[in-house]
Amino acid sequence: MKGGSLFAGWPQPVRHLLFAAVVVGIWQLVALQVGNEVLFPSLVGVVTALADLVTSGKLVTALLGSLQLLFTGFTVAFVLAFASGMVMGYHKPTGMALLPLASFIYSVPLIALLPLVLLLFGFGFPGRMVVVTYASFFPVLLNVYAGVRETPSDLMEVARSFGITGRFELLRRVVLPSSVPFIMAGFRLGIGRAVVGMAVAEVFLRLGGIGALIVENGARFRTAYVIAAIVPLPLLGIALTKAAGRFEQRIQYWRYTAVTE
Amino acid sequence: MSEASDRQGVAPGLTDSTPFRTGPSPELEIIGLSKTFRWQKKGVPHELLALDSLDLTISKGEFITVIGPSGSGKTTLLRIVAGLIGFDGGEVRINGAPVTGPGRDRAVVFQSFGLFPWKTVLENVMLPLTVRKEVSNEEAEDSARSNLDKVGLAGFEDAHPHQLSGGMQQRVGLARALTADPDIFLMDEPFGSIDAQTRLVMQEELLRIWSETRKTVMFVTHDLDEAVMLADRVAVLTPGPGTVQDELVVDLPRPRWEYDLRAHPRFAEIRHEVWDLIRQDRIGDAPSGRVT
Repeated sequence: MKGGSLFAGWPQPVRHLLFAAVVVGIWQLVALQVGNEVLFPSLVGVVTALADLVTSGKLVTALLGSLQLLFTGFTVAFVLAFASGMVMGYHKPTGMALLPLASFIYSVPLIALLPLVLLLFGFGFPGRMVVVTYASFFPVLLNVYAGVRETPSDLMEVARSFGITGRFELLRRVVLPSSVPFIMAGFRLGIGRAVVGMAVAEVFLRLGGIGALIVENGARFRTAYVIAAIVPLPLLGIALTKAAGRFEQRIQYWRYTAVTE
Repeated sequence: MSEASDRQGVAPGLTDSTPFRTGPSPELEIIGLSKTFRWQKKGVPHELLALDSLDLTISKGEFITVIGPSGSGKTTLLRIVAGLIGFDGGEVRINGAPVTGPGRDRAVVFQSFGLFPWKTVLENVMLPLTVRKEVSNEEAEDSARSNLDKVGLAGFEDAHPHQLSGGMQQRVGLARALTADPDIFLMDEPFGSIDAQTRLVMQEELLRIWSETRKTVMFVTHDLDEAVMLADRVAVLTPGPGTVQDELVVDLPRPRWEYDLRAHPRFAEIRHEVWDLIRQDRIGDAPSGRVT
């Protein structure tokens, strides 16, 4: 691989930036060729739009609204999913009864549920929150469930042999700590999905936050502004997932520290 | 009654040559113990008789090893004595009281170490005391530290189990059992997954630690040398369903780390006797590799 070795010694972020610069450069060249800011906005157009959104304060206001929705919806999802996952994992009959149902609802596309959400919860904050909660609930639930089910049986035996008795004590001292890696994975996946849910809710239910910026500018054929408003979404998703990943490593340090003799 | 216990007559579990007959009263009595595993496979019920009216008596302060080929039920026996699984027939008594579940009079050292990966070494060793909540945290910590010192792990208190080698992890397991301060140590092939050289060192250290406390030990193994080296008495199980085929007294002088045990002529003799018992029983299914 000659091409790979050319940049092999460069730090990862520099290589990423370099690649991004190439993509963006091609974009600008193609846009100049097309010469139509509505169909194919140029890089300069998008950057100008983004600068306008930032300096006018529209982007910050929109982001704050979106984040409020995101965190409320995800917090509710995490709490509910954590509790249900624990119960389903720890009480086998409940788990057996509810797991097929959970898998079924998990497979329903988010968009297909929107009319139902609109009908039941309206398009105000509750309705939008339900969409975010729905989007992030199942990754958390299924991971917490798996974490409880995967508790090593030999550790349960150790616990019992040293006098840890009772379902609650076993839960607190063995099941919960040994599920932490799964719970954190659920947290990380869930928050990524919550960002998707947030965008869907803001675009398809009542307009608000980033979603409103996208739709309003789209309706006025201001394509550069649409792209400028979309860009923060994946960045937000990546940032939150990365932050959750960092947190995950700190909490389950016992999985990451180096093995030494 | 099984053939073995018939032969042993009124004192089940003890052969005529056992010097412990006149010793202190039995601490652990296993009388006519039977265990059948039952499970369903594709709707068809299956059964396996794991232990068949097994008799074994262990005196206070005695170090007994239980040896048998894989499938002889030796681990099942230990788990029953530990109170981790139930049984179908017979009796298990500790100082006269029937075993109904795990208890603080026993502590298990597990083959898979069984350390909590999210706890530090010190926290793992403190576990038996933190569960009981009878002593202060400081006392529990002091006790754990002194036991870690005893097994040669001073300085590793804040490490996590996965940072340690297998041998060191089992030292933690041993220190944890010591902290529980039981009457009987139950050891389930504790050195079975440790490399051969480390195993030799660990055996010697176990003997040293045992010589200081002289607590009763029931040690399950499939390693012939290990069984003879450690024990006052070796109980040989038959291939499954397990029952005690015979017991041999190991009259090698102690402390055994002060001389080359394997070079002792009696060691070879006893080892040969045990091997003869195991070999007689080989029916089709050969015992696992180490018993050769």
